[in-house]
Amino acid sequence: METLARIGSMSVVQRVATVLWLSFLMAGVATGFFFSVIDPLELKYCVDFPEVSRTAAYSIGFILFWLLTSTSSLLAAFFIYPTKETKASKSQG
Amino acid sequence: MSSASNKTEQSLYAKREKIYPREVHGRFAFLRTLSVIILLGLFFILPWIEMAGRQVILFDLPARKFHVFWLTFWPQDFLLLAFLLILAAFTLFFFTALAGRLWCGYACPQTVWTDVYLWIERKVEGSRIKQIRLDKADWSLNKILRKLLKHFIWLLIAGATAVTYVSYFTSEKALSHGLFSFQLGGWELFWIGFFTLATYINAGFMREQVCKYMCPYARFQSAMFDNDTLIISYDEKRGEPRGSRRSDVHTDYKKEGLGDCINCTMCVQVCPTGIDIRDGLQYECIGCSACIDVCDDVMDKMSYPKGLIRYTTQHAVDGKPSKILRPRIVIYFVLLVLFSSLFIYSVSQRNIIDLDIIRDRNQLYRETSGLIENIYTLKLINKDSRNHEFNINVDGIEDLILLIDRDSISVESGTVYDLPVRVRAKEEDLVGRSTVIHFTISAMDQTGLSIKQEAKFLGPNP
Repeated sequence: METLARIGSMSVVQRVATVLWLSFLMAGVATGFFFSVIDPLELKYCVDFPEVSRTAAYSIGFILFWLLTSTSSLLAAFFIYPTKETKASKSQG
Repeated sequence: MSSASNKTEQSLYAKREKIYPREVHGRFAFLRTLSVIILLGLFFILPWIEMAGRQVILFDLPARKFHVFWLTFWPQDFLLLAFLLILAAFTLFFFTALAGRLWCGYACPQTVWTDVYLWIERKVEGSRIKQIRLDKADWSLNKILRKLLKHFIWLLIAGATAVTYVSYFTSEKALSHGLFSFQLGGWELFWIGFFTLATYINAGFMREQVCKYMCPYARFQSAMFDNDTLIISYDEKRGEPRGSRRSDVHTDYKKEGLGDCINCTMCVQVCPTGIDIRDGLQYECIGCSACIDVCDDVMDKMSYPKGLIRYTTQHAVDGKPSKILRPRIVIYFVLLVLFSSLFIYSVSQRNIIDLDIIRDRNQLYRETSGLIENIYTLKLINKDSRNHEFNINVDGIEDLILLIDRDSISVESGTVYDLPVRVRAKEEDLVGRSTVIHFTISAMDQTGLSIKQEAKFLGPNP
């Protein structure tokens, strides 16, 4: 409960930053790993991949990774709170 | 709603108090300014320096090559880059254990750019007091003009930072040419915009909140601290009980039961993270040493000895001797040396040529003039600093025939050559549906420089 109270006392900036920034870092790591193994120009041989420049592919790849990681962070940030019923039953018990 | 959740609700929307750090002069302020100038100088100048016709540091993402001085890293060298990151981490650990948050106070980009932004804020809006007054004042022409000017200069710096940053990834020449002729690609513009905004927001508005809420290092650096780590600390024994005093009693203030701290709150006013160093070691403290400088000035004015706030160690504060050599330092140092050696060894031992083999994906095999034919694309990679001439051999199956349209292939330094080849074998020589064969490329101009790679030769079911 103490941890939750501490999360509750976080400022909005801190919450937004935690979700966006940490997922930004992880998306960067993922993009680095992914594109060091896979050359976007060679993707078109394997899958139906549109003809784009590498810079565009890296950028789109990064944004997609960021979308993925930030969604995960956002859901984690959302689900870390107990539901109203849990709060109520905890205070009763 | 209970009072507890009410409180939570309030603090959720608690507005951050803007911090107006007072300007500082002194030994450490000088060091910090020096560090800012050197680091910013390096950042802005490096992309313009060329060596052997190319930018000395260029993480050429479009070409999938990283140039760092005379070294070129390829995607295959990813492990080396990981080594380099581990090396950087251990360097940080080592210096943190030894000297605390040197990085935060003197070298972190967040500190450096915030310092520059604060300096501009001071030039445009005046001293701390004037800034506070200006923010409280009603909107006037003076206020509007000053605010506009400040944000305009901030944005200019942010833009220059972003262009420079992006130029580490695409060449500065191409970028500045594209920028001034308005012919930049959409993605370059997107990233320049992104980093402009990031710089402007981080250095202009987020400031100490980045250190407090966003920086992973700020959170875990305390794990590397021990009682012998250099910290900035207020000498409680000497300073307390703090209190203001009449200027004529400073000779016998001790008789009045006062310590050396005159409670002028200068240390609080200069603090960029808005803490009171006299409350003890806090994780918000980025070790910028502004409070040391300003307190030393005050001590001078009072004719008290300097160093009421100073660089010290927890042991020294407690009156115990401090040790520099201790297991933690030794372990970090050994790891640092180990990874440095490993890195240097791997760099010196890495292949300067490489061969990737890609099978033709349209057709597994085909039968032609009584033989089974497989088609491959050989990627000949020359990471060396000079051009090489290669010849190619293939073995693994008896009477294997290699069909290339020329005898030797010349590959320029730092390039990849895609070479389509056809390989033919008799069906009766194949051991099964898939037979292992080996391609060897050898440099004709340098004996011993060769590389062998495995491939699969496919045929019909026996």
